[in-house]
Amino acid sequence: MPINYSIYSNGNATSKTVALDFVSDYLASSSNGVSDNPKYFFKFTTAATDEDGNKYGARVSESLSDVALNSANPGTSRQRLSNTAAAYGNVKSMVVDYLADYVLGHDALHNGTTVAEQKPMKFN
Amino acid sequence: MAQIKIYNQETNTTLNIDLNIASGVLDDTTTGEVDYYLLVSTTIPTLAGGTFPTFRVRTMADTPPGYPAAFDFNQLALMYYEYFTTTAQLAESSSSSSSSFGESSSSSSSLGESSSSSSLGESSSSSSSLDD
Repeated sequence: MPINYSIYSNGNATSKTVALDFVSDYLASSSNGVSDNPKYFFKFTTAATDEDGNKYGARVSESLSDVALNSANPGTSRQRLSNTAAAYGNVKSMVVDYLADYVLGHDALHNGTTVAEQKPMKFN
Repeated sequence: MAQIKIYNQETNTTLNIDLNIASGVLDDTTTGEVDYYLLVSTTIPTLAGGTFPTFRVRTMADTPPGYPAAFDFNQLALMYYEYFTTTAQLAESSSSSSSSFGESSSSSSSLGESSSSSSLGESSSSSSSLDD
């Protein structure tokens, strides 16, 4: 069963939900193509949108080296594409960063690597 | 939840390995914070007929007993699959003198359907070891 995280906006008195599940599926990814066997991974989904109204795609974490694009820890730059050595020490750290990335969004440029910009989550 | 289904042809039963995300305050906490982790459980009986414990996975080093740290969650899941099935000797033929999960007394009764195979999933003729 997935876990639903409720993210509450105090200023807007509204909340959005992000669901996290551990699943097994054939996986198509931009970096690895389509898997020839089912893969096991964490999957984040939400019906919320960013401040521009754009829907979020599902986010997948295949390992604790699959870092989020933003971090809950100020001053810590996380990114998926090149900073693969920045592995999380445990599942909790990974979950917290992925949730923070939903709330905070991330720039188009992270440590010299271009990624798709993501605005913060929309609550109003 | 990710679920591995293992069909036993002889008994016409399906055994499961479940991998579930969970959260809670753990009994070894030093801060009282809510933690997030995987719970790995199975309906596969142990060789003695008991039940396996539920394993908690917080880090990539939380692999089955005797296994090294996993590279990713896929490898970790397959480690538990291998651990449960081999520890329970699911693939042992009942024609041998060892205990077997299957109840058939025929000479070819390994779970993987191949009489020459002694390990689940290793025989090229097995067809139903991991289908979900």
